[in-house]
Amino acid sequence: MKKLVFTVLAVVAFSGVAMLGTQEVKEEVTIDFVADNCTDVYHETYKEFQDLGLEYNAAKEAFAACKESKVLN
Amino acid sequence: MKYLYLVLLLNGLAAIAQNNVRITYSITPTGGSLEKNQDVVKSKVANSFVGIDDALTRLSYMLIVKDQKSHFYLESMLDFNEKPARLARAFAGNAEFFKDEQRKTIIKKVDFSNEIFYVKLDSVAQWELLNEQKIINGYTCFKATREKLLRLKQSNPLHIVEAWYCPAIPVRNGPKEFGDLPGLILELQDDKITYLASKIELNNNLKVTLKEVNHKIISENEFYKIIKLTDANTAATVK
Repeated sequence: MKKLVFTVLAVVAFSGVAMLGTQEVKEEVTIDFVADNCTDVYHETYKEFQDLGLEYNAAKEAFAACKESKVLN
Repeated sequence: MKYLYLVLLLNGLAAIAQNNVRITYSITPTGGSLEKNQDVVKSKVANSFVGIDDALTRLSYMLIVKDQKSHFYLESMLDFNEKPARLARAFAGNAEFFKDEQRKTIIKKVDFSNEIFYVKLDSVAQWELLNEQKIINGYTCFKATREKLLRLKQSNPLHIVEAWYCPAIPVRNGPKEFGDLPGLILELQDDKITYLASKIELNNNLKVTLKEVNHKIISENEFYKIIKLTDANTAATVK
């Protein structure tokens, strides 16, 4: 009986000591945003080519610029 | 200024009467440089045009006139896949033009989005004949101007086209859709590109063959609807 009481006390005491050093660890979560500005590149290039008078080629060149921007990223 | 080479054989005048003529046009950037053009320099895509001045000089166009019909097309297609060459062709024009003076029609053959379209151009603005003249390689030329509209251009969609025509060569034709002046257009400034007649062949025995347009023809309005729809579809695929 004494042995059981001693064991319980020892466990409780050990747990208490062990818990003293416990602290909440705040996990830092980092979210990386991949820069994909393809749509912006498309629309900007499209407008610029139209303004330079290249009516039929604007979409094609804008699409090419968009793909190029994806490769660069 | 490009060297104008006029081949006028003994029976050349008879050839003019029959309107069998072949004219080569070379290209130069208006103002001397497209890369240094203010619109291009200010553009956010200015770096796309590095090397375009050189590429433009390698382009040449052919105008074939037979009787009252004509065909204008890009003759040289060098460096097809290189970016400066591709953009040079975009600026100077990839389209072919079929004019019929008798029917008063101009058909433009356009390769748009990997599809060929034959577009009947609307009646164009009238030329304003000006009392200015200059000598182009020994030929007295007169100035004419008219407006040109680029429908999809958001800022300043109108620009002035400047033509220098030569009454001594009574061919009412010129580069692209332009013509209908009292003489051949030897020089044409269409915005950033200038077309210069570099070789004129007038020969009664000149064998010229004109392509016929036997395809479905659409109006300019229909064509612009197709452009807008295609461009919108392309934009929708960009994510």
